[in-house]
Amino acid sequence: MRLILQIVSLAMLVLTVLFPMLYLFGVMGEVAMKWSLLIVTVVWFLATPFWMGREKPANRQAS
Amino acid sequence: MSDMTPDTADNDPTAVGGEYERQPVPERSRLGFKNFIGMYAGEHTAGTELMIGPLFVLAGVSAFDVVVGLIVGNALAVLSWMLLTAPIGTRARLTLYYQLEKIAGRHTVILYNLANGLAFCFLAGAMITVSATAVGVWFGFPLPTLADLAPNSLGWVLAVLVVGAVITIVAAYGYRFVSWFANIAAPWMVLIFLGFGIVSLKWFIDATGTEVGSAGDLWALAETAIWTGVHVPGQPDFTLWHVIFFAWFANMAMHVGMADLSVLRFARKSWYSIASAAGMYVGHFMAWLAASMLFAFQMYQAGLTSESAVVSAARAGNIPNPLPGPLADQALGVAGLICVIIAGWTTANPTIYRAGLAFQAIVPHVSRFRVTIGTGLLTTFVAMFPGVAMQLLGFVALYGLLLMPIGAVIFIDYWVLPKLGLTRFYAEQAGHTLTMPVLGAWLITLAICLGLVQFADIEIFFVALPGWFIAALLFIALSFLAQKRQAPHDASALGTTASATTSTTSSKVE
Repeated sequence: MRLILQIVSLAMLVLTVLFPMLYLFGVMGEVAMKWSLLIVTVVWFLATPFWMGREKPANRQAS
Repeated sequence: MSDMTPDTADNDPTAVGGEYERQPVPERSRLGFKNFIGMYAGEHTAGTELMIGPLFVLAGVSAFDVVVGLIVGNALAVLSWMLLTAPIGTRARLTLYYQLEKIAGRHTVILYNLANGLAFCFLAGAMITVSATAVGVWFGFPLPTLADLAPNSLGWVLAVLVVGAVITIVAAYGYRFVSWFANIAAPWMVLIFLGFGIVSLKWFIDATGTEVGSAGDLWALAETAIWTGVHVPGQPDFTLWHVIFFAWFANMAMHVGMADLSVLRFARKSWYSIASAAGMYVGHFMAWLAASMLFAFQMYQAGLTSESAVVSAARAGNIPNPLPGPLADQALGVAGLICVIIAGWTTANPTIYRAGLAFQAIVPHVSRFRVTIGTGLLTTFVAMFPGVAMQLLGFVALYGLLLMPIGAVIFIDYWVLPKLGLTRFYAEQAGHTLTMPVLGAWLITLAICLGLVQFADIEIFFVALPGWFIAALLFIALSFLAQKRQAPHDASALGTTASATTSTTSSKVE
């Protein structure tokens, strides 16, 4: 689960840059870019708190 | 700018260095390089970057001045961390406060805390101002203009009160949560700042009809439309030198002023301080440039790209307002607004917390909770006055200047005094709670520097460099006078304890 969340978070970071780049190159409109970034932001803040700053399960067991 | 001042007092639970307050950091507690990369990169991307970028545009920077100036100035800042702060931090491994107490006595540390705490209040106030501009976009009340020094509407006062109250209460109750949340927000926030730059570049390309086929085309666009070098009357007039010195000294309190001794004492190696480059080139290069591009487009749209147009607009009071909330909303919509609020909140919060700790050291009988609430109220009051945020360039320079002489004192005490046959950590050896060499060097240097600004027309951005040498020379001269006068009375006792301390705390120096 942790790995999946980490992949989701990483994907959101990539998209945070990708959507403005698509707008820059005229592939995406301004309104779509803004909505997409809002969704990316929401997903980032839903997914990331579950792994960032938390101990890995293996470390927890070891301690 | 950032709040990246480490543990201001003994019980900061989350900042690097929340322990070993009165002893060198032991080997087992030292940290690796990666810890410092993440910390510096995250903490130097703050709400105030969104103010500083636009203020550069108002100060009339040209493309060459701002790009080259920031590259050079930030490199000098990194070198200051590497050559001034880290070598002492990784040898003595003491907090700034404990090291200063040894040199100058307990009462000097209290004075330092008072100066630091007040500066923090103004800094955090500017951060609350930044967040409140985003609230204004949602609720639609009149936001302050560039000319407003005082609150301009009831809506603004209420917005600042609400933002300030929330930040203050969280600082008093839940600092750990904010610190954790700030770490989560940091990577996203850095990339949102990058998004500001990308989107505003698109606006410029569309508005000017530029065909960008090479880096040369981009540079031409930057020179002719983005950073045109047109200065707004009433604002500082920035050249290449201004940008270099501003970038170098934006965090002067931390490197030259030695506040980051408390952070870098945890570094296994002195060279780990190069991690500060992550903070400088993400927060003080990319973020400043991106934020300035957002505002530059407002100027471009208003036709303010020539001297005559800007002068007549300034006379008519028609200069666009450098308000982060509306700028971010226009660029990235709600995600941009969330970034402004979070950037202001996550950086104002620890700043208020640390200001509270600084003040609590002065009134230790009052609880930290009450002191933090009081500090937050003072900060919120400051935030109501948009003039503080609008004059942030000058304030940042003043903040660095205020604490710089203490950095010179620590440097000279550590490296130079023993070579001159004088005693290091003199207050500790002599049992003083206040020493004239430190107090004299600090206050006389400030008086000379502010005098140069006031009467010699030297801008505040440039006085800190000669000020460091003035402070250093004064401290040497006053230490010589104080210690030689004291020497006949207690030479034997002092000599014995001095050699013992030198061997235990700084055996690597000689």
